[in-house]
Amino acid sequence: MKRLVCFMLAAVLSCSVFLTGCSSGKTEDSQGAQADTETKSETELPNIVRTSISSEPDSLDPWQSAATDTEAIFHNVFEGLFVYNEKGELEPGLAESYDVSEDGLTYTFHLRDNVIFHNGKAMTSADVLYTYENLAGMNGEKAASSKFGTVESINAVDDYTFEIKLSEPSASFLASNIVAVLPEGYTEQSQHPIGTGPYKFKEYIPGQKVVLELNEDYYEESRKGSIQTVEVYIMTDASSVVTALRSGQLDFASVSVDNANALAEDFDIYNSAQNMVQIFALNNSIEPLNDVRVRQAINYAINKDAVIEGVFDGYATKLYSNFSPVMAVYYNDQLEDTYPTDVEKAKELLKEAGYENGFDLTITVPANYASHVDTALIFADQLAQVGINVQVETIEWATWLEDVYSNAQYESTVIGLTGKLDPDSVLGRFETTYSKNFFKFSNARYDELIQAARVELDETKRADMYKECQQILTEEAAAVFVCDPNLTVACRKDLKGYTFYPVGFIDFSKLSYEAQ
Amino acid sequence: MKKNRLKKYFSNRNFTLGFIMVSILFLLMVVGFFYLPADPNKIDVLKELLPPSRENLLGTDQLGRDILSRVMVGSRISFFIGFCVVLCGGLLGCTLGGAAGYYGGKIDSIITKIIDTQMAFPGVLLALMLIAVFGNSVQNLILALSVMSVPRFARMSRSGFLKYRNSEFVKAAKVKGASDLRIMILHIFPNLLQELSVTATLSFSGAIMSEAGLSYLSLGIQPPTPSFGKMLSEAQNTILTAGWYVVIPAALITMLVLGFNLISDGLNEIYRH
Repeated sequence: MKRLVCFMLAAVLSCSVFLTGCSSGKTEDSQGAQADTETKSETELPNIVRTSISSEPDSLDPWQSAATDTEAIFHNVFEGLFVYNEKGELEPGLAESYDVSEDGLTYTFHLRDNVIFHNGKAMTSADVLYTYENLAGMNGEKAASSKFGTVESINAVDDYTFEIKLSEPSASFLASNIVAVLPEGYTEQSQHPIGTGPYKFKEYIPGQKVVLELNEDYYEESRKGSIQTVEVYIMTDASSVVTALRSGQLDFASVSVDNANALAEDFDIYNSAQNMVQIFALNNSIEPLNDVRVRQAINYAINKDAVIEGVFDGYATKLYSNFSPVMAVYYNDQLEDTYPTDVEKAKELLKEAGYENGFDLTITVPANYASHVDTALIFADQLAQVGINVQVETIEWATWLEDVYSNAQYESTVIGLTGKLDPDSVLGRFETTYSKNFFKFSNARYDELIQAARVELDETKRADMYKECQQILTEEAAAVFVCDPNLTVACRKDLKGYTFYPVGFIDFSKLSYEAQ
Repeated sequence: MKKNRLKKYFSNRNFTLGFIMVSILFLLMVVGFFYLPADPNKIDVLKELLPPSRENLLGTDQLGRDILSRVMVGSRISFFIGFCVVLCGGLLGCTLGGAAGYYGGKIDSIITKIIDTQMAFPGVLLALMLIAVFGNSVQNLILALSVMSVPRFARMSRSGFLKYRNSEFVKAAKVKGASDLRIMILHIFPNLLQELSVTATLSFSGAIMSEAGLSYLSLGIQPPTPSFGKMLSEAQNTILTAGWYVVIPAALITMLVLGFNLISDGLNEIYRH
């Protein structure tokens, strides 16, 4: 029976390939003949890949969009002067190379001369100039990005050379140049986006799908895609994604661990750490959590393995500070033995702090994240062993954002902090003056390090500073850093090349079909 | 006489079926007060999602908690909320409806208008609003669901009081000098008990259903306290790997709601004939 279903699926799929072959044949005769001969051979592989995202794109204009899901798709369409690879390192994108002046203030970018926008226009320094004028707000309008505040002046030296002067040295400046370069004077980005990436935007049907097409004229052979069409369906319900995978409507999709286990027989399951920090945040400003001994006691009392096993089925990486080992360059690997699970030690510390009989603690969790709610319940159980009486309170996501994230009106919470490429945005969350420092963590040495690292241009020294920051977070027990839950992707067996990135990015150009 | 009446009730198929369904769950709950197979909130991640076995008769959930124990404790919440809602909503509804029906005139039109306005609000929306403003707690849940069930009782009792207020026995009582309150409670109200019992059972099942719905949306009962609706939403995440888990809360909610609805249907048929 199963075999019959498979056979029928294959038949349907090959039919659809045949149909797409025909339709492209109508527009161009010479290619049409080619497509026809190709569909005749029996080993024909599909030339379309279909996947899903869980939310509607917030804007098609890359300068307006902020949602991770949107970015994950549209990073295939847009590129900046730099792109990042799967390790999160910068690689030359639209700029072939760059020079920095001695004082670290002037950056000269040498642009590629063979880049063509999706509308057929060649990219020159005029487009880059237009882009940075908008991003830094130098055309008299509001800056399109907050990351270019240190830019003092910009200048197009010749057609393929571009210069940026900064007002002060900035270590994170280079990494912020991954933001999309857009063609000069084109104002329809939010209806029909035009970029330079390996895939072109074809259409967007709200509530249904985004369709992308292969960019045949892409300038860099090694990053060029091979699959002609990409369809991204918008599916908000996890179980409908699984049904769509099963029925062959989707070729790959990200799924929960539980669903991945159920799909494992018919799909290849890939998973990888995703640079997220699942954190048990403690409000450092309220009693008794303002006592470092109490926070340390909580760290000793908690067994992270129970969460990794119980909530994520083992598919998670244990963390020791607010940093995932995915970002290997900055990761401090010396902290792993700081807080082994030790109930006796925890009780001792609580006794020292004057809470021998424990205290009451509320964990406020957003109700829509089942994994965080389950984690909170496990912690409640573990903390009861050292006498801390935990009440789990689930609230709506919007209320959580308002009360906890924006106003820090809470005692403790469990949440996932999404990964960023720039270590400053990851560790800067704990800086005293940061407006969304809802941990209310404050440490003079820490602030000093974060500020120094921002202007430190020597990468090794900068990495050392960030490592010390992680050490402070761990020693001060700013929070309980739980784990980095894996991203799990179910992929049909003949589709190869799915690549994980330390930020949300589904790289379609690396995907290809292989005959089984 | 008493035996005859019981016979009359149990000769009705709907009533008997509903009664059996509700009794099974009621018994389960009562047993839960004296004996639980395991601690319903004891987390053991090594035993997660075990299928039903001799050790865990209904299996374990995603955190390794014994489902049977959670069901036994969870049924308390369902019955408790159903009972409180019927009691509060019934009291308030009957008072309002009674006053409106008995006095008529201006009082009637004011109360009727209030009830009509309240009926215009979708119940669940009202509950969501109350919970958003006053916070998530059992008291607020009961308050919201009680307010929701007021119109049903009010309309029922208003029509009853309207029907009886000019009848011979009320006139007789008036002539004897009985106060309004005495007439309403002792003379008219007992005549409405049959209709009201039908309304009460319907309200009971409605309250259980709404509680399950709100808890499903994580707006009712707070974890770790078990509740059928909460269990249903937890089980949904594992529907592909542990399908039997989702069946248990779903079947229990169905049994409870269907049971009460059948009782109410049965009562209706019995009183009509």
